[in-house]
Amino acid sequence: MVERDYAMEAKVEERPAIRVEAPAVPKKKEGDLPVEQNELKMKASDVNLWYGEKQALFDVNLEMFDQSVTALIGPSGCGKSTFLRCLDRMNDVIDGVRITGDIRLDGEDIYAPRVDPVQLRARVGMVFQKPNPFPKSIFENVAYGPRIHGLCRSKAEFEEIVERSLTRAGLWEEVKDRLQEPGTGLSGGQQQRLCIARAISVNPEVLLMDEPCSALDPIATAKIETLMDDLKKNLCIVIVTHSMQQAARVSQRTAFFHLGKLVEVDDTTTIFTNPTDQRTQDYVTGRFG
Amino acid sequence: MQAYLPDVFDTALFGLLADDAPEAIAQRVAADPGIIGKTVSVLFPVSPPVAELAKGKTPKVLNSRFTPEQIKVFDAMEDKGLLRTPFNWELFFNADSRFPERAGLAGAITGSFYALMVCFLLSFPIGIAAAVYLEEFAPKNRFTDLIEVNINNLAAVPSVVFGLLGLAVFLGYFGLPRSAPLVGGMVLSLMTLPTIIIATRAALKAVPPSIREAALGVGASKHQVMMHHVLPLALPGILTGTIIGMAQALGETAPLLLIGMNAFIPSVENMGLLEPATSLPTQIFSWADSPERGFVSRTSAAILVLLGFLVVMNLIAITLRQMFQRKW
Repeated sequence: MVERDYAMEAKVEERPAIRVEAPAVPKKKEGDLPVEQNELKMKASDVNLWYGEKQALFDVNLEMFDQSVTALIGPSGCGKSTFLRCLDRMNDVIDGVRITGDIRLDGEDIYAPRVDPVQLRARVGMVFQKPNPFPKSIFENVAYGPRIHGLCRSKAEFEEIVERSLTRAGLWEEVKDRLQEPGTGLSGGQQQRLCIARAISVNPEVLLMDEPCSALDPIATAKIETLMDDLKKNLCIVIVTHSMQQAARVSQRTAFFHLGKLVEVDDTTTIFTNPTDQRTQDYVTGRFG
Repeated sequence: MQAYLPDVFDTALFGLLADDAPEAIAQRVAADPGIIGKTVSVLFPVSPPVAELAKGKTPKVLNSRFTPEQIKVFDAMEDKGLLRTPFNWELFFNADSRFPERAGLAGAITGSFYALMVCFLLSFPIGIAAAVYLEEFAPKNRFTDLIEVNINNLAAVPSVVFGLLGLAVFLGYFGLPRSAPLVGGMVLSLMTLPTIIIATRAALKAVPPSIREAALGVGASKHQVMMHHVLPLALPGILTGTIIGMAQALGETAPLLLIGMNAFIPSVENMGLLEPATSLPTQIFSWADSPERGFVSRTSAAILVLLGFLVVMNLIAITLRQMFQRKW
């Protein structure tokens, strides 16, 4: 997988450098506190990761704050998705993956032996690149998480949690009359919002999003970005994106990855207007990648 | 009959009818004594040589099997329209018999049914469990690689080898009863297991990884992912593979012959899992082997019945696959 992504990167580099206007960064509103004053939710220290013999992450240190969106940007194959999957231990299920370092959620080491990855994934939800609803009804898609975690007893409770999750995901009005229809019959954007509803149905504290809009049209993308703005009020969101405009629009902090290393992390405004590292500068202005 | 054909001898007449015709008359009278003294019309199977004659398969002149009187009777019967060639439903409802005109497949079908039941009950759960373990839970090392290679090879082992294995292990070592459908089913399940395991693994592989990731992502354990999502989605493929494996087992002859499941079963009443039995393919084998001409048509009919079962099973497999086909 990593090798394929490197190949893609090589192809991209052959392209003559196109000067792109740096994306417009929204001005900070008056009264907005710097994100760093929020509670520290997740902290990764010196994370190294190997796929077999090949090292994919080198000493990544990153802090993710509550009630904010952290964007991970960088060229393909730079390890940002890999890093994201470390945060809910989704890499555990891949053979030959070895991880060193320390990742903490609320100060608790998530790789400690006593931590059950299954319980962890209930606290750290994930939305994937391609919408992947279960081939079941819309209702079942959302009710599945609460059911396996025993969050609800009665049918009324399930209905309530399904309605609440779908409402938070901005999908309730569109699907309330056809909850029993298969989730796979929805449009791509609706499917992705259904996946978001499914992820938030178990009340996670952190929501990881792996290029959630890369398979969607601009209108569906805009809907999901609005949704993220709402969701971040009581969640810590970490999003991997290839669109720098999207990173600029939705995130408060941005981390730039390159070749498995975390090059720079700072306020989104700073990364896009006044980055410290030359590579970040080149990337955000479209000179490479 | 004598009323119709007054000018013939009894012996000539009975030579034309099936050997058990007198018994059948006696039974009929015993069941309903009221018919004594009345004229009743009864339909009898004719004896096999007469059947050949009626179908025009043997010449009428210079036929050493019949006396001239018998030929005369035959012609008279044919003229009066007394000979009919209806479909012989006894093929399905009678068990085996020494007389081809009375022989049927009921015993063979029952035996095959029992053996397939045992085969299904053993190989379906074991096969799925083995496939799920190998595909999803087993560590990838040399030992599991070896198991995989062996399973793939087992699917290609000739069935007669399995028969001998069953003979040596089930009958010889464990002392299970010979000719029993239980043992037949166990031997057949040895053959079906590799097919089911391979089909199940292919079906599990075909479930897109995004479904597993989605389930893991909401906090399902590995077992929940398996039971709630992957297995239900793979089930059509598993069922298809199983039915095809069962169809194969239904047609398998050699292993059943080796464990003696070609017993002569004249009645279905005493059949059970541990009683001697026969099966469809071994019945065909026995009939094809018998010297009487009448069994030639029986053999053909039995082959058609067996093929009919196979076609039906494969149709079910295809229908299941199409019914449960899902998009994602």
